[in-house]
Amino acid sequence: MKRCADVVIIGGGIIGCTAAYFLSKYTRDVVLLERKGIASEASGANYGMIWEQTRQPGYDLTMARRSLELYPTLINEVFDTDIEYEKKGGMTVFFTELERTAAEIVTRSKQSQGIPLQLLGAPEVRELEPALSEEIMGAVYCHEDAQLNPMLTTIAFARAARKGGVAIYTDTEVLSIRTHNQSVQSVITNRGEIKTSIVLNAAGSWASQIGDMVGLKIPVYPHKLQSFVTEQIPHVLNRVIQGTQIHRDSSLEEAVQGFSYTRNVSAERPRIGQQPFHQGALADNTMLYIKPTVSDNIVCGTTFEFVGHDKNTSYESLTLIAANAKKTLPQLKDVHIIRSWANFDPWTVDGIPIVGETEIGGFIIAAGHGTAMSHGPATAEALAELIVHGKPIPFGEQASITRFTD
Amino acid sequence: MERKTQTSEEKDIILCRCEEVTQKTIEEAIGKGGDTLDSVKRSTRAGMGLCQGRTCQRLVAKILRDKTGKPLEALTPPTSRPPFRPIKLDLLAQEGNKTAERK
Repeated sequence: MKRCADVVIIGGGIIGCTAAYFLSKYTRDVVLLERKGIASEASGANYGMIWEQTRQPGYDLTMARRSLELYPTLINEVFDTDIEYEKKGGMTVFFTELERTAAEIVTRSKQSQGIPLQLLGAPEVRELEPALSEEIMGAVYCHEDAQLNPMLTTIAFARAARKGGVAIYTDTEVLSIRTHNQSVQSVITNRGEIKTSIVLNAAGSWASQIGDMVGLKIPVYPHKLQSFVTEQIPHVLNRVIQGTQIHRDSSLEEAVQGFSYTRNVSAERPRIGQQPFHQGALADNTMLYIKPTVSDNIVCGTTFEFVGHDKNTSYESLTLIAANAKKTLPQLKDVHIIRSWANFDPWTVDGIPIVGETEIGGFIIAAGHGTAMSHGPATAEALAELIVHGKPIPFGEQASITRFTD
Repeated sequence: MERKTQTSEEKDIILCRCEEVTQKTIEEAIGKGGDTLDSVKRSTRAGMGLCQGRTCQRLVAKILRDKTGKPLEALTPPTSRPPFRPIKLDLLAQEGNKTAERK
């Protein structure tokens, strides 16, 4: 193992691997450390949605748009394997009048922010997706939205980074980080010490544990999402379908929030010590995702929980996911489920990741992405510019850890 | 131990029948740096089909042992997840609807 490096990246998920690749363009002295294997956690287990429709203006939208620009070039010029990237448009379906009213409000407001949303009626939805339920009233649609295979994408970035000279060490756990005068000195792993002046914390939902090693509180929490996948079936669905988090008894204001597009970044400054929790039963904290894979297995999700890093799947969650999936795509009822899993979305209170420098010299964070597949390439590009040229991150104040108060 | 060199036909043997992954594909994945059952699974789909690796896992493990020199015991199996047999989605959905109505 190398004993010194310009940059040590912690985490072999999409953020760590994209950063490794973009940094490899400038320096051959980058090390990436991964506790398990590449894409072993959330980057190998999410729905691969590269969506613009759910983004908030500013940092979030800028990163998502830039990544949508970068992916085609990366696919044509860099990756040596297929990542199953398809720009098919994204659809958020709804079933009730309340949801339709909220959808109208959300669509108008997003259009005014320059996001090309369309409100589709039932006939238009069924024209695009004939297998969807007749109970669906309509959908919010964005033709810019794309999807990809998250696991293959992360692996493709890792391979490109390796080709560029990055040393990737899997099964390598970071035990502590040595600092001197509030600056990073070295990273100590179970396989030895690496001297470095720059550490990139790309540990996803484990980012706060890495922060603890330098005495920095990083308010990223593991948000548990459960999913299952069906057997292969004849092709019935063309694109990822998302639902809303709107309940029958929601108020209109809650319904607008239920589209999950509207969390306000500039609202009251979130506090660092606040432990997140969900109100109500698990049945109140479900949201539909149905993703057809290239091999025509159908991935279905999800339920939301804050239970630490407990990776077990639960019978209750799988039944709720199945009910939502059947309601949306009735043909699924006769299909078999072959595997279930849980992953941990790195969660922050305002839905914006934490990216940029910190009060510890050389300790940079890029974590807390619920949307890492969508932000990854643009984030990595910005981080390389920051690390190599000292260029500030676009809308960096929105993503900075300084937005949280003690 | 001396091993017989295989013909190209033998390399076209399908090891993972559910996902139709050949021995050649698996050997290529190992050649590109896959050195665990999980990494081979992630890059080839071997073991991701209907039987979830119940048939091919041992065969892939043996190739890994031969190519990497790792002992079989060290090649930890990928995490096994419920359901343990394929289950009809509707069975779960009916339960889920009951839960949602109860609340």
